[in-house]
Amino acid sequence: MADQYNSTETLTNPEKTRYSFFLGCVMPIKMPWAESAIMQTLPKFGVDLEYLKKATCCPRAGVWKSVDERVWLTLASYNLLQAEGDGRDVMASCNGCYVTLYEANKLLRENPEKLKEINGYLAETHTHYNASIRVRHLLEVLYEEVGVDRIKGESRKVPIRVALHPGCHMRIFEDGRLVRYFSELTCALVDEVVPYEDEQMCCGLQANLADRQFATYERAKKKFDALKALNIDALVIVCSGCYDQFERAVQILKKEIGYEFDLPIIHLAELLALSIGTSPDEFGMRYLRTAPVDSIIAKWESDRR
Amino acid sequence: MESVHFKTPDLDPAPLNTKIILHNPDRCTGCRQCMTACSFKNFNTYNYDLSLCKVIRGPDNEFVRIHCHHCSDPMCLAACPVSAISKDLETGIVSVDKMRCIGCKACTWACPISVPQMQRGLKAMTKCDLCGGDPSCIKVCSARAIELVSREDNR
Amino acid sequence: MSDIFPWRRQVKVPVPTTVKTQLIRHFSIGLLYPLNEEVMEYRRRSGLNPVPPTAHGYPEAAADIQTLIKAMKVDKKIGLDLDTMEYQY
Ligand code: SF4
Ligand code: SF4
Repeated sequence: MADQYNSTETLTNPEKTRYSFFLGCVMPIKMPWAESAIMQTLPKFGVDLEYLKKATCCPRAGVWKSVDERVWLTLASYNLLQAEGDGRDVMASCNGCYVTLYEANKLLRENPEKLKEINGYLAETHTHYNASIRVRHLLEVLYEEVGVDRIKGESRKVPIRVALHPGCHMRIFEDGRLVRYFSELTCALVDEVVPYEDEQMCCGLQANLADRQFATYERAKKKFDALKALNIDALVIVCSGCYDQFERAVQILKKEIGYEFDLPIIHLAELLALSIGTSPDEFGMRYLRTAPVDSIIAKWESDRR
Repeated sequence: MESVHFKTPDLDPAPLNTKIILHNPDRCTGCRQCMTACSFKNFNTYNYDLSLCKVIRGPDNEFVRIHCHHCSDPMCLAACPVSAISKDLETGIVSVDKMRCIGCKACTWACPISVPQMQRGLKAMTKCDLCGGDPSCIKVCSARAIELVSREDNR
Repeated sequence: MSDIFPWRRQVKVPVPTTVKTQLIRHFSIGLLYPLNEEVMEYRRRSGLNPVPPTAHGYPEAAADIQTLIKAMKVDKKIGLDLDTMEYQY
């Protein structure tokens, strides 16, 4: 057992990694298109993917780390052990869920004392977590396991211009690899990725805890203003937390000051699905959007004709 | 002849292994998670006004973080008329003794970046004390824009 | 402080208001957003199971969350009565 804790890269199954997809709170309710695109597309690239069943809120590490660290670790373990029971690693698309689960898992692997304490609580629900699995981001799976070359080979670029919003939690690694993966993957899937000044700025989700006005006007709206000036087709995200904030901000801004943000906010997996020829209606691309995606679909259709 | 005698505290230069918070604007996303964590740690609430560190826009539109640097020779300490501010020479932490503070705000004016603030309801000053050596803000910064570094390594 | 003022009791501090409702949802359904008919219809049209395989589909997971919260005595700490889902302070 001891060795296992030293290496964070131990695999449950060395031959081929199998993943449980952790949905989180936002994606199944607000972004069915993203969920559907991920579940349909990744298996086509040879990723062994299933749902992580019984998923509960990741939970929000930013809140619980300061209120009570045990809650963060225990509730995260409760999610992780569902995948462990199936002999699978966890894959998350939301940056926030990823950081919560990844850091909890890392801490528990390195600290058997903590793990023991957490298992004491988990015993109340007749469950147990061994911390024997890995937590990986959708971007890591796509970039490191599928590879940009394979994606380029099997897909055809969607003829649109986009901008990116990586999000704060995507920057947890010093070398910034997740952000690099995100932009390289998107570059492989669309005609052009347009940089803009406020790309690094936070979406404002976290600021809602303290000041909704600030979160909406100083963060989301500033970002929207910068994006509107770019004359692009879409804003690409992978983080459900950022989407949650943008969606809320779009509604508040419309109601309070009549501000229209008509730029569609789309998920990377939708681009992937479109680029391999999946029809938008197969993954429900038109429903529950902050802004209509018809122009993207029209461009995609005329290119495919 | 009457003369006012100012006594300068005979401080050793702060030991080089003491820790300070270092902010990297190139990594900061302005999410202010550090500010919510700080106000929660100190006042059990999420309130930017109460946070003892601030993240604001700088002149070039970059994010600037204002936090106590626990100076080697603190101006706040020198300005305090009742010696309520002290610097722990071992940890390097500069803190206010709220039982001694008379709330004159001399420290706020003396500090080059006006770190000490009046604590509401207490009429005494409050300032960052590095959470006693394990700052809450650093734990929550996922962009890894703030870190606790020793003066020695970062001269 | 307690050595200077031994008679003073610690004040009970409520959790910040912005997370109060979130926590109630978290502990009652296991997740922050509830499922409704409209969403179920859109999920169906997106080629998904109308009820996601999260705690929405497994209510026992939400019950487990409550058990864990009680085991850690966090409900007492934040002053939330898990049976009535009301804050005591
Ligand atoms: S938490 Fe980090 S990234 Fe966010 S505002 Fe503070 S220093 Fe910047
Ligand atoms: S309050 Fe200001 S002067 Fe005093 S130690 Fe901190 S940064 Fe220096």
